[in-house]
Amino acid sequence: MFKMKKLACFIVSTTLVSCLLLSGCSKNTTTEPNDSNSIPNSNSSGEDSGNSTLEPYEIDAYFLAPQCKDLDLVEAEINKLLKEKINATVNLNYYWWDNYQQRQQLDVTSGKKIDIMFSPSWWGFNDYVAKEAWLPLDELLEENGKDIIENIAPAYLKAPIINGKLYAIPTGKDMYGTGGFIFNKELVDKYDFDINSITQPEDIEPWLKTIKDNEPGIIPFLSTNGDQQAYLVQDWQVNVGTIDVPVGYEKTDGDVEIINLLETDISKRIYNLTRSWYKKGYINKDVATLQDGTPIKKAKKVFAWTEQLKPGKADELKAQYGYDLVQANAWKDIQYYTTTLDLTNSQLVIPRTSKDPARAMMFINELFANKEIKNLLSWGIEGKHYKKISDNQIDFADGVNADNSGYYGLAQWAMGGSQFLDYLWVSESPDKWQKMKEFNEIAKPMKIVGWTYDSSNVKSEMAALATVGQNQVEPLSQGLVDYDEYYPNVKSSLEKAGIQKVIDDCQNSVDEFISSTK
Amino acid sequence: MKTKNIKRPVEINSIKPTTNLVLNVIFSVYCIACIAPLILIFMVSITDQASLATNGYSFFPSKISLDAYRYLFSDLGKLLRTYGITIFTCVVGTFFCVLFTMLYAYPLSRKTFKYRNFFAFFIFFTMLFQGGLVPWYILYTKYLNLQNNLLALIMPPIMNAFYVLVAKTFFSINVPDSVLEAARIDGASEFKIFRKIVIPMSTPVIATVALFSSLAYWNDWYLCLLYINDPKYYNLQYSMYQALRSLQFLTSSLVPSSSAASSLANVPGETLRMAMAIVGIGPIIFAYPFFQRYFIKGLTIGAVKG
Amino acid sequence: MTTNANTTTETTTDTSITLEKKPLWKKSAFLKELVTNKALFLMLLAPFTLIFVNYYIPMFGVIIAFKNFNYSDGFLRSPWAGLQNFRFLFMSDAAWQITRNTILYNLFFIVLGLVFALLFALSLNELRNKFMAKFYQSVIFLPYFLSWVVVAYLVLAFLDPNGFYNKTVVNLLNLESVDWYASPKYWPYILVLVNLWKNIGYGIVIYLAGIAGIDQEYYEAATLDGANKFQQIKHITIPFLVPFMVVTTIINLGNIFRSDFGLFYQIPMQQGLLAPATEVLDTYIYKALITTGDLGMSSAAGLYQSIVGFFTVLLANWVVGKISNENRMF
Repeated sequence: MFKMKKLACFIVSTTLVSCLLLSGCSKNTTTEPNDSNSIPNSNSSGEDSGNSTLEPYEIDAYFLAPQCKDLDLVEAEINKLLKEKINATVNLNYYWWDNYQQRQQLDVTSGKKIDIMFSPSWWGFNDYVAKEAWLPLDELLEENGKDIIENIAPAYLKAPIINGKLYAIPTGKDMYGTGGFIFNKELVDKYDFDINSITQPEDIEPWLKTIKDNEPGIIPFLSTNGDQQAYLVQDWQVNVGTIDVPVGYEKTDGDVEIINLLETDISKRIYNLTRSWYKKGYINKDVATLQDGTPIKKAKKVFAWTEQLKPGKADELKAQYGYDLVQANAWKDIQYYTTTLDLTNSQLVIPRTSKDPARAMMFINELFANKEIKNLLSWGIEGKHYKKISDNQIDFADGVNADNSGYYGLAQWAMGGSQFLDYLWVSESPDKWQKMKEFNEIAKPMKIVGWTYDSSNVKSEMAALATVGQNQVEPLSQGLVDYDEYYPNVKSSLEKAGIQKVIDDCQNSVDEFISSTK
Repeated sequence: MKTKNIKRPVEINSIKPTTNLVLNVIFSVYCIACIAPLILIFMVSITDQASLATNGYSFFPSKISLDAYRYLFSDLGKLLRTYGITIFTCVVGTFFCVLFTMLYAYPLSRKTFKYRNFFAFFIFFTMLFQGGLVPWYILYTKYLNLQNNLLALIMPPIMNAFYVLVAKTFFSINVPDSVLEAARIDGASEFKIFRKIVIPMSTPVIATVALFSSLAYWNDWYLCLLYINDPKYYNLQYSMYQALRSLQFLTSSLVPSSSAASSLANVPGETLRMAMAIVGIGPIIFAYPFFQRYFIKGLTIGAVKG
Repeated sequence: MTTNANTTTETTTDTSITLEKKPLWKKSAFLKELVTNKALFLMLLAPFTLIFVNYYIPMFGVIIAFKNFNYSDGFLRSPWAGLQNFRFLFMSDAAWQITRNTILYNLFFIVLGLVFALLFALSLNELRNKFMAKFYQSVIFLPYFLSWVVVAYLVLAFLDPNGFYNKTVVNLLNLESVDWYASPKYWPYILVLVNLWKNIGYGIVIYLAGIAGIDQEYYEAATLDGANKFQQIKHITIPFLVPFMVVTTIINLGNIFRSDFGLFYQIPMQQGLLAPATEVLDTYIYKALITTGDLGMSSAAGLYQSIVGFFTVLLANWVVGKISNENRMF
């Protein structure tokens, strides 16, 4: 036993030493690229605009996109154009929903060279900035992003500012979403419901009753695990962190006050509404266990459900589900606001491991100015993957369909750049971009666009609150419990998890921001 | 007469026919509880998705549809390729796992080996303490450069404290020192003893480790998620996992706005998941019967008693 | 021969005692052992290296649990955070409940798993028709192949408001319908049952292998001595299987604070209402960190589980040692 201990110590210490040595190596390679702001001298492109003075460079770009058979081909086409413009080639890496988040963290932590990455606010963007993973882009934008500035709504460039510096380039698209309903058009027509008459969610209740009484096989209102709560309150309040943590503020023109979102009038109202609908049998009984509502929606067994709406949403969903749908906002005649979260839900960043950030910025710039490159990225190669059926609309190329296309299924809104450059799919309405521009004009940016909450002081509390959110708040949104009976329990759990500390810390942060921008 | 005499010792040592019957009944009932779910899964996988949404699971689907399988097999080449990759990693991995496990466990079981406790603790410790995903990932991708390399799928599960300790236990009990001593006296080298005596006596534990190990390799999708980017090298479970998760995310409320994914219109949901379960099990179901025959009473050299 | 071996060991011990006075390394003793048993060392070499590379090198990452990690400072230079990263584990007013759940479930799994695996293995071994025995074995193993997600759907099909129980069984046996997913009290039974069903095949294999290794002659001798089945099992089979029972139990105790994530996360369909009965440490950690993915905190959580498991194992090993010294793990 004695000898063994000594040997054990010996082994452990050798291990530690060798690890330290090894990690010493890793340290060097991680910090080799610039510290924060300094731009490496490999690029003198700031002054010279001609590509003749630019050295060739390979841009490693990581996007949220599915694996495509023809990725190499598309990459080659893009590079032909890219070489001419900025003497660079791009190396596209696609991770899809199942492992993007995981891979992102591992790739960033392991210090490998990454030039461009998709990092939206709902996937840890703030965290990465707080941990200094992304570079500040202010100077880079000024020098190499002229087309970006021209082609993007100004509010977008205020949103990803943290501690005074810009850390991402958002995608130009819909600047907000409205909470609303999607209805089965057939049933709407059958009973002559007037969609335009909806001013608030309660208005559809008589319709739900009609459906329940007259259509036995149809679910009046489908709630997938309580999702309607988030959609119906989103026009009124905003979470500062993830959706599980009920800390945030109400949308308003006035001063921003950080509060416990479960106690707002609107939250209570919708919880009670859900509860009453559940008791009356309008909501599907398996609301708690339903994780994927798609099959039953596709089977046309549902009358209504909630979604985040934007122009053309019902058309998009029609393509997905295969029958006619109509949409209607849940709230009428209210002021819509754009918040930071809306503007940062799709954006590209340049990590600190990039060896030529200026070149990376130039590539992003191209995505705002160069229609050819943007559409190659979004849709593939003309003639091979799609064909044009009108000036701005496309359809599958001949002989190509969803199953055999070598470049299909991407989320165009996640590919960065300006979506207004994208071609429109045949099933969408030709004036979608026009409508979207109008839609964007309606909303007002809130006073605190440009403020994001850095929760590193309270990260333990945030973690604890997230669990409470997932375990205890859920039943409320599923309509399984009465708010008044049930909430006091939740409140005490929230308090134990430190919600007041988070609220105070957050309010401080807001006040600082407001006073610094005055 | 004579044959009866030889038979008797075995018969005497069997359990009574009534006990046998009772046990058989119990097992049969339990087996139904094991097979029925699988049959149900199969039934669901061939059910039409829409009717599933309305009628729920049933052993007798109201409407049959092979859509799920059509979707899975649509890229037959890819599917076969993933099968191939999986089988390859499975076979190679299991071979080395068994080899190294036996090599490591044997010295641990020798009571004359002074450092046996140290080495036992050395591997057992790994079961308790882990450094975490990130350092391990950095090691593999940065220093060993195993990104997109099949070795990254084979190496991690090779040394497993559980298998080693089970093997060690087996060696300690069932490979008596006296046999080994006899062989040593006869001048055989340690390796020869290992090869010619220990291994043949240990078929049950070899089969056990081989079975567990091949299952571990077969079911893995996580290693693939971490280390393999190139679809050429996807293994079966991961490629199916990927297809399913993509579907999940797109229909979840996490995503602020979904794309015009008309591709979603044709993809079956739950039936797909069930079909994947069936396809994923496929060949490995035969692994158990294959290894089973080694769980028979092992060969023992009668010379022990001497 | 045996005496020879003893003397060898004795001499080595002697040398080691005298060497105590010499500096650091017990160099001679180690080298001596190396030479005597060089074949054994050679056998250990390759696996040892693999273990070292795969497990020990990454262990340094555990320091992250005590740091406030940021990417520009990396692993080494990030500022220390003391025990900050461990706080979130104790900030839930359900912390006690979670701990209790984790431990109790594991204890049940260990005990029931062992008892049933043993019973099944012994019974299977005794069946007269070997073909049927093999058939049963294979079938019992089948549930192991299913993923927890698929099993969750099966359970759902059974317990759903529109599922088998509430639609069919209730009518057949004239019972009341039950809202399973809203009643925590049933779930300990459900989870234990489902876990046993899925994993029992795995445990059975080990004991079958153990039984297969027992020399037939013991049984023959016992039969001749007039021992009946039960006595044979009690005095021959079980003792031979005890070391396996000890090994598996101790290993499982080492994981006393860990759980099969799929079981506890998927089967209850992530129902918040069931959390008092189904939330274990691993699911709590997952839910807490799923969006922040804070490296320090997840490492801290893992370390917490490891430390508790470590002390549990030390305790268990000591207890086992007291009862029968040769069955100690180390």
